[in-house]
Amino acid sequence: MFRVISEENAMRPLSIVPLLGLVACSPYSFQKEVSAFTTGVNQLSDAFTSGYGNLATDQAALIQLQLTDAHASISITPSCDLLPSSVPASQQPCALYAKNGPAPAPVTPDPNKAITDKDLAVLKGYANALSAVTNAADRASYDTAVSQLSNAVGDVAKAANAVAPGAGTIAPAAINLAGWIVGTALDQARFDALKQAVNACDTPVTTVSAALDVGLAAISSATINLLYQEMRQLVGSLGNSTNDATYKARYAQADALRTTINSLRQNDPAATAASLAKAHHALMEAVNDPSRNYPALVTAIGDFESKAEALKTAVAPEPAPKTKS
Amino acid sequence: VATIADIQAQQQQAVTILDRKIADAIQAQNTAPASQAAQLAQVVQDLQNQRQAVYTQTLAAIQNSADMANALAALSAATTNMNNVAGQMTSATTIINNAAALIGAAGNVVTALSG
Repeated sequence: MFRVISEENAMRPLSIVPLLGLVACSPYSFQKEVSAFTTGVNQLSDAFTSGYGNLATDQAALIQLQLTDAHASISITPSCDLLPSSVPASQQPCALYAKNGPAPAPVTPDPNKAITDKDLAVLKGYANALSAVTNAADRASYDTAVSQLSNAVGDVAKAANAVAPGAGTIAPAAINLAGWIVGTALDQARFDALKQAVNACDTPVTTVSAALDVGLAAISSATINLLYQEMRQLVGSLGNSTNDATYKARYAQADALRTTINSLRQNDPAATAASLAKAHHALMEAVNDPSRNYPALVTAIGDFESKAEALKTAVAPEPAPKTKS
Repeated sequence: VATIADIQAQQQQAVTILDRKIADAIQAQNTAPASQAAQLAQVVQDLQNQRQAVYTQTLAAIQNSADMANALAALSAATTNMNNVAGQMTSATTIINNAAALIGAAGNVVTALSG
């Protein structure tokens, strides 16, 4: 008879209870750990989406400041009156800019965003499939989940091979599609599917994570560039001759940007992507040898989840500035 | 065989050189007279743009990694050149005078990453 450790105890690395359970009663379901891994992957994906989406807003804010300070005459891009179509002008964003100046080019730190989006979708699909398998409560849901997982493993392999050929070499039969064999306990079936998947995908996940790491760094750098320019524009005209209200308002805006920049600087995107790969590797090692590797898994998963959450928060749109009196 | 980590390490070297000079230029801008401050502000922005190009092109190189080894070798040579130019940028005047050369050298890094 199999026994699954309670959720309450599962994430206490120093507690003897789960460790005894892992040694004595196999298999452990890893539900909570897989769930935390999935949450982290989803948060990382959200950080990408928010980070990319904020660039256009940050650029518009910078342009607004520059034009306002210069009291410039304004031009409107032709795209503002066009629905996206094959007309080249329609493919540019709708923007305001200084009359007789160049129209602002969109900030595109990721030249192949579709590839990054696909990598993220693949990782999310894989993580969600792992969760579906570990959470499957009956035969029907297990069979559906294991089929989903098999497809997801294939997708991860393809994504890794696109970046580093050979990184995603996975045997066609990596995941047993036979489903739940009559007479086999569900716990054992779930555990076997999890074990097969994480072993097959460890190298591909590391490769895809490294590519995401570079993508996150590119987005963070582009964001910081824009925020720095905006902050410089805000404080550049401040001095003895600035009236009190303007001084306070602009200083408050600059201070809000300072907070956002510091938050971005403190949440290293590269470390977050690296912690994803580390957490997955720890999951594989713990599944392969729970009695020896479970504490390291708890640490790695916790580290990844907290980094992903912090990064997601850091790239969220900055709150409206408050003027300090 | 060059790995993603090799490409990233080279990218980081190029970014570090630009970061140092961006920091120097911002510091110089903070204390420079108005006439020089405007020039330094432009230098900062140009260096930032070049740093962003390095990040962006590294990502593109990894996404289209048909020949990472060649890209890595070219990147390494271009980074050495950047270091040589950056070494000459030690004051507000030399930062302004050599900024174009550094941006050109950083452009070679971007070209190297483009394959």
